[in-house]
Amino acid sequence: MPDLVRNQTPGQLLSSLRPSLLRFLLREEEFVILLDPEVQLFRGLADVSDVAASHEIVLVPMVLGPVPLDGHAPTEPDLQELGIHNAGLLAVGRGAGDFLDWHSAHLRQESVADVAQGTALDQRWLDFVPAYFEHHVSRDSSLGLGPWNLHERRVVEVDGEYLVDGNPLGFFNFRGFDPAQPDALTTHAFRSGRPMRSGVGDQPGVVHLRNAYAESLLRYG
Amino acid sequence: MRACTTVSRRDLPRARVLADSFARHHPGQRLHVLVTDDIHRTVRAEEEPFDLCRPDELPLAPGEFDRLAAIYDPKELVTAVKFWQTRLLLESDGAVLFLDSDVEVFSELDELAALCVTHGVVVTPHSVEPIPLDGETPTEFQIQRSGVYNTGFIGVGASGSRFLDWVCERAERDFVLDRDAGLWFDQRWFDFVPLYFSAHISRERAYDVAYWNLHERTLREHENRFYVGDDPLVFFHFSGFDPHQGNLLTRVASRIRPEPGSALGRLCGEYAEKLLGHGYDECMEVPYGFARIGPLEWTEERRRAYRQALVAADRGQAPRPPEPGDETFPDWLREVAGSDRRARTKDAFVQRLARRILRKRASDSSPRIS
Repeated sequence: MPDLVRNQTPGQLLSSLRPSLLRFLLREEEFVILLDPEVQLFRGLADVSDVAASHEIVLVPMVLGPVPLDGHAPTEPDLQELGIHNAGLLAVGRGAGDFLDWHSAHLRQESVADVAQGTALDQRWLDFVPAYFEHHVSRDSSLGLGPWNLHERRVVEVDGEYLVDGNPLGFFNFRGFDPAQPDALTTHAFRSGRPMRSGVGDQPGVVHLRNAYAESLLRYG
Repeated sequence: MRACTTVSRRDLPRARVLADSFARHHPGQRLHVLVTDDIHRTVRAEEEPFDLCRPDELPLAPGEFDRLAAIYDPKELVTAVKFWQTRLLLESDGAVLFLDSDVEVFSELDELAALCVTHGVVVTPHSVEPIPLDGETPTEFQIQRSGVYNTGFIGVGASGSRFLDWVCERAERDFVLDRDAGLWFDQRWFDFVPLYFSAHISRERAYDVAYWNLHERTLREHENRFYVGDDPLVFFHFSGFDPHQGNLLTRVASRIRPEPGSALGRLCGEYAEKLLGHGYDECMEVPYGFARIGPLEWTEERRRAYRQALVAADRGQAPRPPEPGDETFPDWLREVAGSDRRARTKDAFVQRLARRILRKRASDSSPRIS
């Protein structure tokens, strides 16, 4: 622990402690769901936890299908720079010990230099999971919404409830969201440097969602 | 089932060794080999141990192959055009197995073909277990930058046509090696393939055995057959192997060395002999078929300039550049890749610098806790 605190940035320290937290909680539980602080949850995730208990690791992909080659960001290589599975939600069951050991070893080894080069991202390591470990990739379009996948999902608001492709929204990932500029949806600069795919954040359902989130953030201090 | 590979002329010896090994385990069948750069038709189909395929047979729009040969360097071209070759073979067969030319086959591939029929696409990860953090190479970080799955093998079945549409659309312009843009030939794109197309991820250790996975696989030899653990070796991938340096499996990685007298040592020694026997040294002298365009040499900078112009035209942001076969092409190229050279080098430099400053600022602004 002292070494970790000395050698890592706050963001890295957070990432590298996550596997330990998951392992700690798994001593008492059949499964654990880890959510990023920038996630907002809209319903219970019993469906995810059932899968975690039987498949050990549940991954939520950044996108479910091919990203159009329309000259806009994020491109598929843009997503790869972050990792193509979204670490906003990570669900693990009791059998995920090997995965947690492996993930933790990599995160501990990363240095401040990796951050400067942009290589230290816990999410990118998840891309090895399908090759190495028992897992399940969720293809539920109501999970893991974010600015990188709104082009493939239809979000509507009905009486204060959000529906994604007709199903109740599970969670939205507000990575890079700045409540002072909610229209942008994310301030993250994608590597390709291309303009963001326009219009996707302007679906009335998404506008409602992001304005409400901005208000909540400000209200909570 | 059809098996195929793609080469430029200088890698013909590899294709010959692969073709021999494939035919040995699949009596009556021949490897299908696309040769990319035989523009003067010096390769004689009747003298080769494989079915020769020429670029004009590929299901590509007229003029498109010439554009691909212009924007891509020799290796990029090979990694891109194989997908149209696969598409061509799928027209008349239910399963196509693409193998890199530096693969050698040691058993029949029928099980893989059956998986292609069932799943549409089959991929092989570089390794099926984590790579040890032992200070040796390759590291997982290196593997990640080049892609989780190794495209030395790609299996496609009839139900994989949606995958082929996707991959061919990207192969038209984006199968370059450009680390800054996160592009690594065809391979990095394959991270998406299990996700998009529910591809089967093969965790079979007898497939695609190579320097990046021998830490998790024990190669053995028994009565002149090679085994991985207890299973017969199916195919070995001699990526980076130089027959004149048979004591090294590859120069680019340190972890695995073929010790003299070991099964791996024998495998490498035999492969080196076969390569040399099939004309390796002679073919190393063969110039690349698309090394020049008219009076100009194809440099990386010129290929990139033409690629950029094509991409801009494809997006409707610029007029279409001339075709590589046009008389005006060399002059056009000299103009865009000559006069713009300094400006573009400077652009790239400024962009790199800006990126470095931003990253430094990001790391400085998150102060360490102690």
